[in-house]
Amino acid sequence: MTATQQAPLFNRLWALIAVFGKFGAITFGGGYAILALLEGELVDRRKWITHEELLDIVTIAESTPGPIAVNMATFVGYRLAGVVGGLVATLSLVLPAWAIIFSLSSCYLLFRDNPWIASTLAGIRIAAVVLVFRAFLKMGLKLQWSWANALLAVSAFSAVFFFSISAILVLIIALLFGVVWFGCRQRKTTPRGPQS
Amino acid sequence: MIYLILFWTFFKVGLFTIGGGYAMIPLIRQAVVEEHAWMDETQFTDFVGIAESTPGPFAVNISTFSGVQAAHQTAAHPFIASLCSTFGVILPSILIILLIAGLFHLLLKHWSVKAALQGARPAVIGLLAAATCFLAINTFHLSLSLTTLNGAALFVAACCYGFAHLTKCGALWLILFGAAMGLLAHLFGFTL
Repeated sequence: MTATQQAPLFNRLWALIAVFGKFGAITFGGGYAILALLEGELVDRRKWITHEELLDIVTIAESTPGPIAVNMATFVGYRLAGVVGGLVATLSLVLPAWAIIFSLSSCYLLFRDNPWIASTLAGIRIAAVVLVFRAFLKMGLKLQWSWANALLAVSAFSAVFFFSISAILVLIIALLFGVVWFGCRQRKTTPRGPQS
Repeated sequence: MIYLILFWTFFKVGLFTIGGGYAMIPLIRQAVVEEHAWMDETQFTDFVGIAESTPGPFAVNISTFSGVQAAHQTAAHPFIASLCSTFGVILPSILIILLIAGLFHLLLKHWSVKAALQGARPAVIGLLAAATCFLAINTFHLSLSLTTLNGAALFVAACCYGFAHLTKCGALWLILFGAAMGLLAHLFGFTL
């Protein structure tokens, strides 16, 4: 923390703009791609946060609602320069991406009827389906499966696929189910008191 | 008021996305295709591909795209509309993270929060499976009788999967590979 506080506020904000702006404008990939950038810039080069702190931030960014990259930007920004830092880091991340997509989307509307572009887009669509399928596989293989887990996944699938129930409602029910089922079982098997 | 509707729709999406950008796909699909009909299934799948092959966080990209498309559909201003959807999707993150970073650091270690997240994870997997099915039905023209099935599209999908599996490439290369296959298909006269 001392190294962080010694650096002038302007320098800290500028570093946030540089790191997160770079990610928003030129780096591909989801939230995990930003981890390497942050590690190199803020941990190794400037030593403003430690490796352990960064891992904590990733864990929290993963387990709170919202896109992981946006969560990380807000958190790292807050650690370095308070609420202003959190806002600056998040805006630096979002604005370049927004500008790029905003310009691209008008091209999409202009050119999608051209047969060559249409066929290319069809290829991209197929790749996108494969991508979502692989995301499903990856998340599915990472999870430790149990009867309760499988029941939850199958129910969520059927609710949305067969009965068109709102996905948000499904998630709310799953969160409550988690508290009742996993929460009560854990508290039965572990002694009361502060848990780590 | 389309701007408020966009903001509120994506605020809800941001609030209920647990586990990163892909977990957002089922929520956005339901909102923009089924609920508001701002785009059809085909356009939505296009956007997933484009959002994944442009720089920046996937969630921000697809929200911006949806905002622009909704504006075209409802004769609103795309500039303001995309700002509303994008701001909507990131606002829950900003509020929640600032609260946690500032005050409730220990909240995440509470047993009930851990248990709730434990319940959400398998549900997210189920939702992703449903989204995959919806997108696949539309892309491959699947139906129960199998007469409308697009064989060329299935072949391209198998190639894409094999390519991604063998090279362990990132999403960008997979999308570029798909685009190249699309060009080749047109060259040889196949309709995908």
